[in-house]
Amino acid sequence: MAEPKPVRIGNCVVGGPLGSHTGLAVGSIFYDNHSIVEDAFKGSFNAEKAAGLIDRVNGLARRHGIQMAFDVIGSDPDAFCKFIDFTADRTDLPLLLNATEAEVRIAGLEFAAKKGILNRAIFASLNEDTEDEEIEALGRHKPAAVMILANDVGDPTPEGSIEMIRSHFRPMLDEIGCDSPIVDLGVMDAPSVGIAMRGIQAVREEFGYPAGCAFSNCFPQWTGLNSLGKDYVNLSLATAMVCCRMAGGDFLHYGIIEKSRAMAHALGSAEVFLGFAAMELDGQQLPEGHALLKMFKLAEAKAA
Amino acid sequence: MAQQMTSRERVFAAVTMTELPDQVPVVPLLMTRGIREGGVRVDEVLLDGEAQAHAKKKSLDKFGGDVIIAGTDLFTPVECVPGCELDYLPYAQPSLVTHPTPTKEAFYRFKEKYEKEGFQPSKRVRAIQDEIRTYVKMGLKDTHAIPTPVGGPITTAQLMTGSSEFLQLLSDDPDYAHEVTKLALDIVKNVCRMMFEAGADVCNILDPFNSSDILPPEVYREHGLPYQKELFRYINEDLKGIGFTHTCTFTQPIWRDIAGNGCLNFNGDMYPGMDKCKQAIGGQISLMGTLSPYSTLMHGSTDAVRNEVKKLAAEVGYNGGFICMPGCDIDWNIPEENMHAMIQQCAEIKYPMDVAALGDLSEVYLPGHPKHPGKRSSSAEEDQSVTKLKSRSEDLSPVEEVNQKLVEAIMEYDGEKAIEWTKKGLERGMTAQDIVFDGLSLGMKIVGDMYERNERFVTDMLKAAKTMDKAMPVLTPLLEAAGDGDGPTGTVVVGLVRGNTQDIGKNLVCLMLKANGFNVIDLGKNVKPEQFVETAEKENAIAIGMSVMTNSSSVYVEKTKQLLEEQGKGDKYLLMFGGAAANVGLGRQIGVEYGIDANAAVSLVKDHVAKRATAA
Repeated sequence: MAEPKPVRIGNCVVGGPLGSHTGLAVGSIFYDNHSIVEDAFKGSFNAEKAAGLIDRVNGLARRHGIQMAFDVIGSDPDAFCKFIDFTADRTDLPLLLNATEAEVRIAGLEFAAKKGILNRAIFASLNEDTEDEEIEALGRHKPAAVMILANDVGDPTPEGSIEMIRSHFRPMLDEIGCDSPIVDLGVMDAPSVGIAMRGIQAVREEFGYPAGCAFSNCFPQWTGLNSLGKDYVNLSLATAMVCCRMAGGDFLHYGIIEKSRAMAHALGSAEVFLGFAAMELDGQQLPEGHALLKMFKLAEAKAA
Repeated sequence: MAQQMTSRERVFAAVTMTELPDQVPVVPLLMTRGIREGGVRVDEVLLDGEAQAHAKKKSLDKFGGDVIIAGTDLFTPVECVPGCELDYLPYAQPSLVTHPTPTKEAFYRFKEKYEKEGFQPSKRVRAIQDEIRTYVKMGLKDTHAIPTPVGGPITTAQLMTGSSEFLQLLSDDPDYAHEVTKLALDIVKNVCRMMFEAGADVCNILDPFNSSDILPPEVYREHGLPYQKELFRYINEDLKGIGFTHTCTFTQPIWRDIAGNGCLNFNGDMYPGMDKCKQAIGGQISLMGTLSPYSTLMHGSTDAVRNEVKKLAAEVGYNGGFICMPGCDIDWNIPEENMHAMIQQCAEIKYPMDVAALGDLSEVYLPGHPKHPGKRSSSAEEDQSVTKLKSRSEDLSPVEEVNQKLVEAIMEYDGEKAIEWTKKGLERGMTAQDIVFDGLSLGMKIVGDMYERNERFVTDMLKAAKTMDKAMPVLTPLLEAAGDGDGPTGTVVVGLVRGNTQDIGKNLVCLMLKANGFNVIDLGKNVKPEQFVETAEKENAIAIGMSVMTNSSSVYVEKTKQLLEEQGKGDKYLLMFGGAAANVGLGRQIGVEYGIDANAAVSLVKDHVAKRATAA
């Protein structure tokens, strides 16, 4: 069993012994079809609505005593920089710099360096198709964390992920000078959340790296669930989040940022259990404002 | 949840498979019964389109349903041949009394006249045009789809000469049979043109003569399929219309041929089971199919009708490409309450479909289903060339056994078994191509279909692909060696569009293109539209092949096309796509060619090369 290797990202700490810090709940903003986005390539969006969503997450993280982050998504280099700029100005929470194309990810990284927010930026993510330019860019600008997508399509088992980290990602990370990445186990459909949970445990045990997954990715395909209605979708999402957290998940991507309210509540509840046990049984000192202290005062916070 | 659609939107969503309908669409086939429900005799209005339209509108108001059908039957083209006599019956479809060209002399006399005077529409064709125009005037085109039946080329040829005479011609004088069918095709094209000109949305090409009960598959492939392909090309490209294929009874051996003939929907009885048809071709084009007209619709209870609708919806309609209908032109005696039950049940099944909520449907009657073979058996049962597909392993030929075992290997994710039976297939004289397409790919297709039904999951798809991969090293050298270097050459750029990861289909396309003498540039995964275009330009390619796995990634196919158009190179390359999210309807919508598998991709490129050579 490897030593846990927690990663500090701005005011948050991701990873470490289970329960010592809360999981990081991540929601996506500015994706292609996001209702606030008017033109994903020009970078035009409804600033008022976007600011409202960001404020909501800031408030939820405080009230529920959990760590939250923004998964900022871009399709075009200039548009991506606008999105990062806007989000960074309105929050102190970590930002994932996420794009499907290397060119856009690099532009985001360089912009984060220029803006001076690398200490709370997560590069999302290194994957099978990572290009040399990205490695070079990461050598020039070191973000607080680098995420790796350790999902081997040819071997989607925990063993496959371990092997992929060892043979594919570790040399890349050494080149960048990154000791501990955040590992995204990758989820292909709803049933495979269970496989990702096992992968999270395996990665934490083998390497000590913070690990997690975007369990939300597969929910749109779960058509039978969607037809039951929003409440049931949220219940299943919350179940997936809590299951992944209980398996040791440090990085918990719940999907679109509009879901943040329900997800913050579910995660906060789980952190109460984990945090108390970590404190009582392992002697962990919980960080200030932890869910254990916040969740019991939610009604007061709401009234205020 | 999908918004409430109009009937028209619902039908087109199901037919083109570009989006999910809001609920299961239903076509009650109110043709002659529709006229009678409107309070008039069929024979009195067949030449009065307006009266026919008003009668059927009353019927639509009474029962509901998502389309209003103009016309009643398949005789319209043959009726345009002088000498054809029909008996207009009071309460049924017309009956053909006299074949217009029963002898060679009569045919050549007509052919000479046709070549001199051109196509002369019959009064009834004009009446159906009036019927369609009346629906348009009523505003029905805004809310409902307007299809019309038209006899298909080979069926019209057979009606021109007489059935047994035509069958005799097919074996004794095939060149003459082709000549008759060619002329029949021209007449059918003209009838279709007139229907679309009047405002019809769809010509449903009724070609029952192609049934494998009547024609062996290889005869259909020589005498039926080429004419259907030309007809659907004409409908799609020249008339910008939509064509469906209707063929009755036993059609299993030719399902994949029908799916590739250019139509957007296949409808008919679909023996031995519509679920099997869905497995074979349902991802490629939409299906319209039937409750058992007599066992259930005529004699069953309303519950039996509802259950059979549910069963069809669950097994065939789960991905949206399904329209429910009640057999052929419905009988007078089908109880009204059963008609209502069918139509209402379809409306109650919403998309996305909650299959589990439909209940236990394991004992529901379905015509032709192995559990419910019914009284009917195929008249071609003993004909080996017709009934190639067997269910019991002891009946299987050595080649069929190989295919079955390969399908099992894929479904069981047993790589060793896949290798073993691949080798056995080669020993038994099968080509590597046969093994890939008739065995391994069929297994992949079945697993893919189960995935769509939420019975298997993504990890299962990956395991199946890995199983197939195990067998491929045995076959790859043989497939590559199959390229003889004499075929058409040129460069084809191939890749998976952004957002895709599964590349087994794409790899097969590359392999088969190479095997056919093409130079292939494989751009791999996550390929951007710009990369496709830049590489094609740089390599002086003739075609771009794009693989799409998810609906959302299909937009990148469209973007590639747009990019080329913006650069003024819209026609420079053959643009083709395939993969799990691709189908004929989507291809037509985007304006790119669709290929169901790697073989189809090769055919598309070869045809393109041949066309360019002819044009030059």
